[in-house]
Amino acid sequence: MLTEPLDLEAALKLAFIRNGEIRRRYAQLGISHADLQAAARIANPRLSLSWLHPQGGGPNETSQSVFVTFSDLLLLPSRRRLSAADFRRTEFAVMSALMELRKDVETAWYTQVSALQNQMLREAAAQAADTALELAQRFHAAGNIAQLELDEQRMRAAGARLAALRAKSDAADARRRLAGLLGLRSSDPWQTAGRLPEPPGEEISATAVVATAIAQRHDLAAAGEEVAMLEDALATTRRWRLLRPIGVGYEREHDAGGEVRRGPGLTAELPLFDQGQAAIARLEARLLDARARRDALALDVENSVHTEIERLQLAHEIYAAYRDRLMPAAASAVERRQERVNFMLEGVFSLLQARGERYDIQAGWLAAVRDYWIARAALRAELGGPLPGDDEPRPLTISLDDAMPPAESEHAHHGGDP
Amino acid sequence: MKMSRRNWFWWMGAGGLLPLALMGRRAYAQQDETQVSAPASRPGVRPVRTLNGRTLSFRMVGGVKEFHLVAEEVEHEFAPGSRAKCWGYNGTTPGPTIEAVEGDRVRILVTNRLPEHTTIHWHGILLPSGMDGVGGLSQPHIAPGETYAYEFTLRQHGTHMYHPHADEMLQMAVGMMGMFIVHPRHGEAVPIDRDYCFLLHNWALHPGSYRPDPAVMQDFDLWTFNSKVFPAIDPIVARTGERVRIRIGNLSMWNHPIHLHGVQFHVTGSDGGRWPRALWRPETTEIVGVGQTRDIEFVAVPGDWALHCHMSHHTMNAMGHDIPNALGVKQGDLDAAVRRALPGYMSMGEGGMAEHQEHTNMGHMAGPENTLPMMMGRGPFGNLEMGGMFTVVKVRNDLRREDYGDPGWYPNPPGTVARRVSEAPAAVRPDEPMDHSKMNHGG
Ligand SMILES: [Cu+2]
Repeated sequence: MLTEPLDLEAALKLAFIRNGEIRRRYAQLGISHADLQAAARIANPRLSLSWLHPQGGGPNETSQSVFVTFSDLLLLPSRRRLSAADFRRTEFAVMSALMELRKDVETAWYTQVSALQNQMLREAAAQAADTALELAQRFHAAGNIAQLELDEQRMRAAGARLAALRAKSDAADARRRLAGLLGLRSSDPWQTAGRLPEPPGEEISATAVVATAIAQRHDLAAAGEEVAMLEDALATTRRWRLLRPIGVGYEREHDAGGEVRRGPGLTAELPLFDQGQAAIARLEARLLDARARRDALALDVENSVHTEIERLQLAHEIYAAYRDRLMPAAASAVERRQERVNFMLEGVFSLLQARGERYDIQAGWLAAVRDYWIARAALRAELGGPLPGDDEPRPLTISLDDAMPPAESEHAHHGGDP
Repeated sequence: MKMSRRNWFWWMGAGGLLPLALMGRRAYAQQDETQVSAPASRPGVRPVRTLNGRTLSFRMVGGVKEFHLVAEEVEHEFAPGSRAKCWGYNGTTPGPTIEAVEGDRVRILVTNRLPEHTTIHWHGILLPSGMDGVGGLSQPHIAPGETYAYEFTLRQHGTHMYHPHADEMLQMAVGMMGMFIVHPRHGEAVPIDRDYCFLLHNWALHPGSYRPDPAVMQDFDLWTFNSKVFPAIDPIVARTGERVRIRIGNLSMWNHPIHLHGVQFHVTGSDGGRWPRALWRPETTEIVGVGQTRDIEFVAVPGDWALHCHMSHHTMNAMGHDIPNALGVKQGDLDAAVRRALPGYMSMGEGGMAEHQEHTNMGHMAGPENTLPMMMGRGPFGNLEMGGMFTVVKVRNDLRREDYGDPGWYPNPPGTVARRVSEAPAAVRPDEPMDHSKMNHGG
């Protein structure tokens, strides 16, 4: 069983082998479990050098080829059993499914890790509010504060406890979702890593990403190939229409994974009345249609990529506003309030209340970090491949340590160092 | 010379390394120090000692004593650790004390280097209506950059004050005030050996800020003698048997019951001059009302004697008045739990506030920047736990006549200091005769 906490790479590895949906696809292709294990063994070390695990990655083209290699390896055992056309189609479907799975796993992993961190944060906030309530009960029992002030602390403590319970429930939901994607039991004692990675300092530029998308989207490439194939077929038909009573047929079909092509086939015809005009007209119509579809898809890809980039850039701005403005201001405000308490300008309750507000801000910051990574995964899926910056190290450094210092062993007399 | 804004911020950034207030003074220092005040040279006229301050010099111009006050922004230090941008005269708050003699003709030039108009009202002085300094009523306002001349003949003696009578609330709240002492022409029947003066004032210098807030009417942060708080207030020094007068003016927004330990003083005067002896009355506490001045006199007896306002929060620096009362609340065992959320937290106040000065003395409970702890000062036997309007009258047998230096702590003669007779709370019960056999009666 899993003993190490699951980082994102390990989660993706698991998903690519164990995910129920992807295993059904493998099974349809006749890929055995042993093939999978072999593929995983061969491919994953190479994958770990690329965008699946960005720490040591090479340039994007390499990453892309590694991805192709992976699907290639997966399909190797069945290749002999498939026609070239079926192979292309299957390759495309599997790659699409893997891309989609990757996005889902990333989203679920970031959601789960942030939910766990949020659960800890909310638990700390609830404990602080409980402590404030206990203090208030003592102040009240000593005759020093009124019932009203006690009631306010009771409300705060109850509210903080409810927030902690909700956070716990969110974390459980996130765990179930991730377990489903990874093919794990949510009741088994596996764990994810404890921290979110720090987002990069600067966000990527839109123009580079759009160009990348145009270059690496598989469906776009397929649409382009279809146009090329039809142009080829049309030229062939025109050349041979009088000499050879043979037309080049071309069919396409739809399936759940999107539109795929079925390769050219030969059809024998009697050229008594038909000298190929109808076939040519049909092919011309198909070519026009294919070009329109390719262009529409290209526009659609570009627009979708722009949308996701904007979403990512906004997510980064929100994260950066937390990191650079709200978080430091909230930390400083609590410290300044502590100084006021030190000089008996203010009491412990307003200080703890300010700390509670800082917990809320820290929760918002966690959510901003999570949203950034989820937006990045969505953009990557839209792109059909790696993003600029994917190969930079992303240590898991988003920490709540300063929010929750470990319980102290003894601190009998004096306050901590400022 | 006037502080530029840039200098001010530079000073803030440097953490107050350089007492730039001196720069404000420099322009007038020469004028103040090269000419000795005339009052001292007259027989029977003894110049006053302005606590933490000085007397304004003058020059004789055609038989007129000509003084020059410059209203301007100043850097002021209430005590080390608390500075503010205030307004004052000739580089300080309060401004220098004007001293003259009954019968003198005085001309006081007032230059306005403030960003708004001002005037000076000569509080309690008998003069022509047009010299009274009420902006808009007695005279036009003195616009920024302008210099006005006030000129009148002193027809009285006594303890007086000067302050603006234009945008008065603001200008006084940020420190514009001074004393105006008029000595009697022919000396005093009961001569004074040491003559001190200071002004009472209050300041809304909110913790962490660097400029007094003129909008506050009651909840002040600092309470001062001559714009200083204890322990930065000069001691009042005298030799045993000397006759000491302390002249106190109040330009604050509260009345202050000023209490002197060790003697029954007589209240002998005010801005009405030195009263006839029949009106003198013995007291140990005298309320100096807002806008009033009071002179108290006593024959010095040896010792270190507290002189302070008896409003207890006026002998403290800034503290919160809306904090939960921790007296009698056990908290210490919850500190560890609070510190999980607030690493710097430590509870206080279960047994009272006395522990607070211990903590702030040791510096491990940092307060807001530019803010003094509410309790300060250390004496020979421990913390004084005071601030604000508090100083010490130090009387010694062996002082020279003109020695105003701080003689240190009083060496109590043997057997004249309160002593501990027991450390066991159960050993002494007020309703039972003491068992003297169990007690240490010392020497
Ligand atoms: Cu007072």
